[in-house]
Amino acid sequence: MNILPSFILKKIYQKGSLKKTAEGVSFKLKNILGPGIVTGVNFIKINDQIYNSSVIKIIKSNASTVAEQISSDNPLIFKLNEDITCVIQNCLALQEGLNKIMVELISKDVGKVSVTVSDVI
Amino acid sequence: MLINYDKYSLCIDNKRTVVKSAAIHYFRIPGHEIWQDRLSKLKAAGYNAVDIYFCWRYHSPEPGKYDFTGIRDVRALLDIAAKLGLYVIARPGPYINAEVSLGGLPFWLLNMPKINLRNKKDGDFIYCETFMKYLREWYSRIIPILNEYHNIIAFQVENEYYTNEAEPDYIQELYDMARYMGIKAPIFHNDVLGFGLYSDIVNIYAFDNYPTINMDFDWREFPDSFGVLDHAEENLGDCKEDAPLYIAELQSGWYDKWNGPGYEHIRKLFGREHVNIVTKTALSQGITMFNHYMGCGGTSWDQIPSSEVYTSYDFAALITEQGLPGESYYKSKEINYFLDAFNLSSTDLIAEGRDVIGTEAPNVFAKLRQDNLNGCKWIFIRNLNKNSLEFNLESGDSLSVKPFDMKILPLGLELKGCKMDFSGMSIFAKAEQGDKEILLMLMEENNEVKLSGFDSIETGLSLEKTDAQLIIKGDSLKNLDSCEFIRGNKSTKIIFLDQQTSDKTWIIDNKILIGPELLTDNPEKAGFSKDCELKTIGINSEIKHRNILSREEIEPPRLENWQCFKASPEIDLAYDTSSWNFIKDGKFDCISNEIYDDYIWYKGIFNGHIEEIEINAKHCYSIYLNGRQIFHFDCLVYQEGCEVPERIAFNVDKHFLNEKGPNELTILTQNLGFDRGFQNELRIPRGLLSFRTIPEKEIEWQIRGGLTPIIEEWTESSPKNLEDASDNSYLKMLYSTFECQKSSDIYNPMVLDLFDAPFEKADIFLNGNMIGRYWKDKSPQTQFYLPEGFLDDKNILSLVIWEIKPEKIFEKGYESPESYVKIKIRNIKPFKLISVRELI
Repeated sequence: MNILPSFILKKIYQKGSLKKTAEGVSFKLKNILGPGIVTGVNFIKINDQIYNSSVIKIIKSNASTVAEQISSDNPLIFKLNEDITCVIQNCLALQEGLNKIMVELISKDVGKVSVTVSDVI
Repeated sequence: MLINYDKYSLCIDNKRTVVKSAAIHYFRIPGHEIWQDRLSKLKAAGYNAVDIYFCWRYHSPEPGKYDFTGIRDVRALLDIAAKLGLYVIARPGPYINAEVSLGGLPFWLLNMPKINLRNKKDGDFIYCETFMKYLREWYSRIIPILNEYHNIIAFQVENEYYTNEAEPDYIQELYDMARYMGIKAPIFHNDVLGFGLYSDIVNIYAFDNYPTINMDFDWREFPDSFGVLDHAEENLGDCKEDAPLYIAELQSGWYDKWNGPGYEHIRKLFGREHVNIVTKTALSQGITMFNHYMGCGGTSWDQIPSSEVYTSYDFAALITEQGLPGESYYKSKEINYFLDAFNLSSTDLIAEGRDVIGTEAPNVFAKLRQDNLNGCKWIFIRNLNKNSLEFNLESGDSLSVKPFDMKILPLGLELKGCKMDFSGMSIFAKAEQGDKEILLMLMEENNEVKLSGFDSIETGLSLEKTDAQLIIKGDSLKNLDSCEFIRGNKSTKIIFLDQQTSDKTWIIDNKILIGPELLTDNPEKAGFSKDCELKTIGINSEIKHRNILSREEIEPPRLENWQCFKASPEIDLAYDTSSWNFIKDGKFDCISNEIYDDYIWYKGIFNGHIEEIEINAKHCYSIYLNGRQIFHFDCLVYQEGCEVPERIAFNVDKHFLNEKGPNELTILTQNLGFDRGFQNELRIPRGLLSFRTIPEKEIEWQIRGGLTPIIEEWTESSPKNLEDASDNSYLKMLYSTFECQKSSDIYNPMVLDLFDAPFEKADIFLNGNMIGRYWKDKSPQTQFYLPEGFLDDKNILSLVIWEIKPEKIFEKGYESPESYVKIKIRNIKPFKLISVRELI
């Protein structure tokens, strides 16, 4: 079980940020909880389709990192009040209307964190 | 006591007050003398409040039964706090976390039908009348005691409570209950999420803050870790617009776990810098109520600990488990003394960042606050870089900040004899009387103090002067250099100290005492571990010198009269189990059978051949077949804070089987505590959780809690030598005695040192109290504190040794005196105690 309850984790997701892009699909997360050190991104699931970290890009302050490069040796510093954009390359799972999104990552301090939200396009 | 509050601070008896609190767990420091010692040490370090979790389970062994006597006499504790002039922040739960078993809830609650502990199930809020009924009973016992005291300044309902949807009903009911039962103090809840939870119910919004919780990383490499504190005023200040923000737990250490790195590592990791940074960052947010968690380490004796933690709960706290001041204690004293010198209970933010230091610098934090009481400004500046940094302030002043340091510096501070226009060196403390004051400052290279507004000066220092100001440069100062400024009939003497001297400097009745390493006993006694030249400085600058000779070497007590007994007759075939119960409803676990001892024995008989056994048990266990150990395991495995269930299957060696007749199975399990219920469910059973043979056999299981030596109280009467009664040797009891002379002029905490012990695992008992779980493979703890509250003139020390790995049993030969004499009692650091009145 996550240390953080779902009603709070959901607030990380920026509602309305889900969109199709030339690369695939993107959405934004904003850290409103506290300084975070991400030591891994396990996967992103969109409508039951799982995308592993090799096809996920994290864009922060205009710098892009492939999620599979994030590790405890190369953590992603996610400051309080900071935005990141998650891009899933070649994602075809997005559908018109409601989409279910799940992000699972590893935090240095609290371990596995799963954020499950839904958004429309 | 009259308590009001506004957005700035509490006003206690009409005086704006910065609440400087530190947490103690009285149940981990058993004994009135230890309470007196630890609270005195906190008081001596400038704390004006103590935070106390009241642990429901510690007082309630059975439904309807409550014990507030002896080491559970919380009135005695509250009396000590009141006598010391400490305010109390009362936190009776019902849930306290505190890394205690079941989060402090009584075990008997687990057996109440259809109970949802804390009105929670699987993270969802499910109101439970049964739980509320017993909770009302707890509140109805503890609150009337609290109501006898007038120094309770705040009361917490629940602790770190959240559900999936954060329903407020439960917190509201607790609030109403506390008020109905007579609580007059402001009520708060401790929001673990720092998200404003329940702020519309409570009087004061409080949250906890632990920037550093992963001990595998050095916080110095992660300068963003303090982000929540850095934005506390901005993000949480509006949670209660008419009340101060309260940090109910502000990190001053962290707990170690089984398989953890050890407290030596954790203390090194935090150093003295961490508590300095978190506290001053909090103050930079205008926070006027904080509680350092923990103030004192303690011992998780008996069944106190949750399964996650081993015996020492040192916590790398300000005061160690053994009652000795740590580095962070002295740093906290420095901050508290400063806050005593200048009341920062009403300040407003004026500027931050670039507007203070004129530039953007990475990993630098700066705030400027207007002080509404002292009429000056304070600069809060922090450097989280690995090198010192120089700053040219917007005010035109310059200063230097060392790596990982934070300072609070005055701008335009009016003193009695002069005005301190600016200082790059920190103020440590102040003593004052009438028109005279002595200001103690921490000398620091590359920094200066600018002063003006005085008529004359008396000093032996060579000082730099401009038309308007006199400048004292840190580079030219020596320890205890001073200068006195006079304005009219008022004077301010400034004395500069180095860090080592400031650690040993104490303000008592406006006199300055330099030399003792600690103060204790109300605090009427000063402690010295080595020879020193003591200085006392009075308000008229009269200086007294005195040489203090510490005691001669003190010999620790010798453990004598060693005896060794076989302690597990239950393993033997045909052991008499007629007094044992049969397991209930086919369920093995401790909750189903209402057995809450650490150790649980199971015995059963089956006929014929089996191939395999499949078992799940917590936390460690051995299986004996026909009197021989055939398997052992420990399930003390956590992943990301969650226990990992381990169902094990293994083949049974047919040589141990009676293939044609009855076979006797014996299982011993050890429960290392329930989960603390922070991120996991509280109700996670212990003992044997599942068991089956393959092929499956019908077994009528019998069950009994406790070990024979404990049940028969071998430590309290003449032990029965079982040498002739049993051949098995899987559990042993070592038994010894020692004498201990208590003295009021010495503070000498002692430990049992098992570093050289020739066994892997043991429980340690001092006069019948289980004071430690030694487990070489699982924890770095090899020294076990002998709590003074359990020590008598004549003592019995015993160890129940469980060599869980059978291959070790025959190698060690610890039955021989040559081996167990390696177990020794050691002194940590004896202090000679001298009456403070004699010294000043």
